[in-house]
Amino acid sequence: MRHLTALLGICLAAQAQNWPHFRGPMAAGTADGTNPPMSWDVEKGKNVLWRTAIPGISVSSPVIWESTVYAVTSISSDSKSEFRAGLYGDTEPAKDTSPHTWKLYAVDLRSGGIKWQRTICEGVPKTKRHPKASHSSPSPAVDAKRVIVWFGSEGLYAYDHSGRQLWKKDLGVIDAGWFFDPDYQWGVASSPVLWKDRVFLQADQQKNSFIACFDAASGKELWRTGRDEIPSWGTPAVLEWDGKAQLVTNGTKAIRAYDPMTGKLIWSLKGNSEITCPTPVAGGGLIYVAAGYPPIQPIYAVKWSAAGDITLQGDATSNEHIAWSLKRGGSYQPTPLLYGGILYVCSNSGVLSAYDAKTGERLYQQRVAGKGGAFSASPIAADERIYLASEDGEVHIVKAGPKYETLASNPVGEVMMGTPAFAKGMLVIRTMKHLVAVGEPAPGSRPASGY
Amino acid sequence: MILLSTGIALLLIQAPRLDEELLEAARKGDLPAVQALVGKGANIEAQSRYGQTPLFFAARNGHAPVVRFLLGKGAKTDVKDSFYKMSLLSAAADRGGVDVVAALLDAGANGSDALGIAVYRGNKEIVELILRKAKPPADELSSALQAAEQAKQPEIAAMLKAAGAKPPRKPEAVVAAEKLALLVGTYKGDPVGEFTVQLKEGKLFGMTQGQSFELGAFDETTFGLVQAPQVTLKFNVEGGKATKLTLDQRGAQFTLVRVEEK
Repeated sequence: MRHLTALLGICLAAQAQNWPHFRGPMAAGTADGTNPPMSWDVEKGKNVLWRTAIPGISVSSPVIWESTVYAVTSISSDSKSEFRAGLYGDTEPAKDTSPHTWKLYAVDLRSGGIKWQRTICEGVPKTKRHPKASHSSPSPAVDAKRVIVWFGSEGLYAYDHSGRQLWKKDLGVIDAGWFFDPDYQWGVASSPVLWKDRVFLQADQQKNSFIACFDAASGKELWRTGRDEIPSWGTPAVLEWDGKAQLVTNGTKAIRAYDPMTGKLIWSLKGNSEITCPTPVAGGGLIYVAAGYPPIQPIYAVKWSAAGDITLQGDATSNEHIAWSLKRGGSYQPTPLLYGGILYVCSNSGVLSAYDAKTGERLYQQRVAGKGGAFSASPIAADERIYLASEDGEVHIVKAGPKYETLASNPVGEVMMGTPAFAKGMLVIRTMKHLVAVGEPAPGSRPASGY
Repeated sequence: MILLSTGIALLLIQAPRLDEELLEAARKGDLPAVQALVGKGANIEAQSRYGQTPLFFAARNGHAPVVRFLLGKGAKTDVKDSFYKMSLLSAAADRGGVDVVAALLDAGANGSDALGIAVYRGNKEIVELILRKAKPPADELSSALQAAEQAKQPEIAAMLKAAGAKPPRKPEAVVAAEKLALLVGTYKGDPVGEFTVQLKEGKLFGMTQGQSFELGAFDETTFGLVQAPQVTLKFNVEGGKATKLTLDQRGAQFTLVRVEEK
């Protein structure tokens, strides 16, 4: 498969900024100092550093460790396997029940060359998936020693950076789907998280939901805590503040925080959407959790000191544990972005709302680039710029701050479902068929060769 | 005595389990299992977390034999789920198929949203069935006709007109500017959130979620979205100013209260 190679003036230091799991460190989605590009056009080749074809269907996000980008995919033996992007309300699973191949790719961050690829497993998927999902929706997680990938019912796997399998685990069938009719299977999407040589997995399903912790070196299960939960798709987050850590999970019946070392519940908060996807984020002593499906679409700003049942009573919007909250405004799929004291929430239809992170006062609400669109990827930010990747094939750049301003809209030419990753001077984007790196070459460097 | 109380305890534990199994069997269309469970005492009106009954599940999933069996046992047809507020008949019109809809209509089921759903699905057979057996009222016919025309379903539109559907009136009334100005302001209410009404160049616009909609007038206080006139806004005007508006979307009504400017 031909890939772009380019002689670049960009210096990628050995200690490059890492993007170790979904949405980067602490799922924050921020990377100041990386100076990502402002403009590009993938179809015309402008400011494209490389573009590497990845077969199959995947809505996962790329992750980066030093000089390697990791990506997963699932390849159906049915070449007409259905995938439908866009805004629609169909609940029926995709009809493809043919054998699949699940793969992990390690791609060179500088050149886009494939360092290695591994077939992780093969077979008929054990559950169906939503037509807007994939059988490889969870993003990988990576640290200095290993890459972790999870494919739901197809298992949990660990590889070292040379592609050698370290261990694997079969966690059984993970049956996640529509709360309204359990026969409508949609597949999993919650990504594994690595923290202090531990792997955390949130498995919310029709029955027997749980959150678990595994030793990253051996795969040994260290603890498992059952959850009274219906299916959910958010990735958990290990959030750290003031020297302490909490493992925070979104969920319909309750938003919950656990001690990551023991799995013991720290606090729980009832009152949420019936389908939850966004990942919790934190900063300034507050933990932000949102969701965007009926019956309510809340945003909660929970104090770090929260403990026990912190559910709001009656019409209250705050209490001793919750700094502020809104019943409406939460996002369905994109995870909110906390940046520069402002909480940005992007709806599925591309309405970007900005809130004062301390008080919840809404600063603005605008359609991205004046037109909105379809958005599954979560907003990310670096160097006072917010990047929003749409399913419609554009990455919009909005100025960070209390007033809305579109800075650029850059065509990528393909559906984008996963959240891009920042690297030094680059943005690494997962499109439906490629991994693409865009960046502005340093003056004097040779332009990238054609596709 | 001990045996009796143990037996009662067992029954109490088994009852919810039987009900759960009945809901699942009905959902899957397993008629022998449904019959066996009803025979063991499972509650034919058992409800899921979202208010769906065995009949609701069977109807929605098109399991006609199970539907007929449960109707024969007297299962209620006036069921709505508690989450989407979908009637049993509309669930059947959505995905249940002609046989199921026919069985429900014969049992007296009705649901004002069923005709609209059948039009949306482009299912001529089910539209014909509902028109013939349920005789929907004029406003339902009107809404369905508008939906058929918007969905470019000319055959269904013709069926609806033959059944007496009249095109819905269009929001084209002329209202004086000073009357329109009374309605300008910000309104708030769950679940819509914030809805701002503005007057621009003599026309009224509503804005919510970063999107603007032109409002056309039916009369001085009732408006419809120009692009979707079946969505109506009824303003309450008291003492010379608007105090609230009621948004009506296919029968679902939401009230928003006007917020005073600071």
